[in-house]
Amino acid sequence: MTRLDWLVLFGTLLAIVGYGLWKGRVQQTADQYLRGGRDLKWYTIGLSIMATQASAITFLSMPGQAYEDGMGFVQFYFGLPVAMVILSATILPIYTKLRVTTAYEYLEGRFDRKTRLLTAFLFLLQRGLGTGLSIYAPAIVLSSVMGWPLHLTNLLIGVLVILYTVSGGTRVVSQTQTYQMVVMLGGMALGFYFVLHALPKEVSFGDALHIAGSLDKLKLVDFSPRFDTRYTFWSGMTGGLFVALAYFGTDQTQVQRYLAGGSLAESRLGLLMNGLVKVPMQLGILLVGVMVLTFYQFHKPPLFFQRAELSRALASSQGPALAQVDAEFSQSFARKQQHIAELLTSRQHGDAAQVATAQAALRDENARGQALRTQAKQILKQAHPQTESKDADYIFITFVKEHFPSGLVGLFIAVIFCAAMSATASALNALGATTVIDFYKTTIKPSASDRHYLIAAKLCTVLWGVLAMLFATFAQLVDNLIQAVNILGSIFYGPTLGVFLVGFFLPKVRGTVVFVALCVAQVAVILTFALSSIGFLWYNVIGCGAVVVLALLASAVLPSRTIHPAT
Amino acid sequence: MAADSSQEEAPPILGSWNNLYALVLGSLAVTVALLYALSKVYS
Repeated sequence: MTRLDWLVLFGTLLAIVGYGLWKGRVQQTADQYLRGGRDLKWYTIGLSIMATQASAITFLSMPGQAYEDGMGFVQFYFGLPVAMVILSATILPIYTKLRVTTAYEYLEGRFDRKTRLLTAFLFLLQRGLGTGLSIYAPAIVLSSVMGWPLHLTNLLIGVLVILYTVSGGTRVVSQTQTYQMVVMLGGMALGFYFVLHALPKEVSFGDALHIAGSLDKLKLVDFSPRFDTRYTFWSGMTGGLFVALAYFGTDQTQVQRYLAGGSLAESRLGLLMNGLVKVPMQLGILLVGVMVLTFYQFHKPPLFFQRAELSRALASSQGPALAQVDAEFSQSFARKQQHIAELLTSRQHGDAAQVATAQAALRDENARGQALRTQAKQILKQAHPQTESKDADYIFITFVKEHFPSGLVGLFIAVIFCAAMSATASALNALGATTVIDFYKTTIKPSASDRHYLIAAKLCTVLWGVLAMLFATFAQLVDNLIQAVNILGSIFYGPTLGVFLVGFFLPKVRGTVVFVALCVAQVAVILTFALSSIGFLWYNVIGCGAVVVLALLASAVLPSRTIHPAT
Repeated sequence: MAADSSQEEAPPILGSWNNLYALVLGSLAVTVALLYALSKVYS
């Protein structure tokens, strides 16, 4: 990184953290600290919701995902706008009317305290671990690619977030997220412009799309009703809808964002803004990845995008074998360039038959290149068994480091930091609020002064921040960390969503019934995880379905008593 | 939890919330149609 990069990076970070601290200097009540004064505008709420969901992994992994598997991942988000409409029309008015601070507070009014405490505990468990990951994931990539010390990167992200989150609470978290989103979107837009600019002059945007399409990377919508394909229109409209309902409707990290609205209308508009903007935003990030792929059709990509690991393996006893694969990879790349030239020429001449021939040859050569990359990964594993063989997360950051101009590298690293900080700030804010409102205030200290709860909320936020940093520090000891935390989240999300759905839509079901249903469903999901090979995304459906079905069965058998949740 | 008895506000545009919901769902439908067309053109 050049001096200009460091200046851009630290200038951006200090400006945002300084703004957060300056805004947080005002004396607040506990309610203002936890609910942001309930006067935020819809655009602040909308940007805050988007910034909370957009973690650093979004900007590191998604372009890499598009590079490897194409843009079909965008279909996962098709259910999100539908979820925003459902939440705006049904659940949000209930939360607003009851003036709850946490989502779990609603469950005590609707069911009983034990149901509230159990769902709040499940949230603390999964979000506490997930927050450590939101610090660790970008730190491990940055430390590997940029050569930064891992623990120092963890510490830098964690301390900066804790400073302004503790200082200003919900309001400052949302306000800083507005500027963080501007940096993130602005940085990615500049990145997109630069990738296009870096393509050979004779290659237009249309040509770039044509090359990507020839490599099967532009299958954006797949209507085939296949269960063996991970991302289709149907999986997005069912699984994606389900995950979005659970995440935005019952996860305090998001609920706290839109409950800070000045009115029901402001909160609704914030959610609907997310529904309008999210799909195009994700599409834009994936498109950057596809353009990077096109760039690497004209410039030889590394055999493996974690260059440090590649160099280490080349220096080992497996070095000659790896060098041989790299030589074959170079030959394959040269042949691929020839096919691309034929494709572009025949496209200019409007020769459809020749275009099809060149496309087929390009696809075959690309498959050969992929096979060589797979072979290289196996050799890397043999050289050093601890090597992470999936390098998709490193593709975009490697491209940025090696090809972005001075200043833009610093801006992109600032984008990564902003994303990590915005997701972490929301999580710490929500963890602190849930600990104080759902546990401390209900079971330990029910009647204390407002100042007491304010200090307790700030201390809990610091505590969760320190725990997250500790988890991030020791996370490297856990294998397959990202998958482990995703599985953990899926184990708990389904039953929790089931409890909320029963609360909202099955007014005859009572507290003990839903509590038992939650316990049984949770055990069922854990057993499914332990004893079956079902994909972990299905745990959400199984958990939620089990709670709803058990509650329905119980309400049909037991004497009924109608409960009106909004009174 | 104190209940808030404030009246539901109308949205600042399009007259009713149902119209705004239709805008969000309609834009999703248009986006999906455009992306499907793009997939076909570049496949």
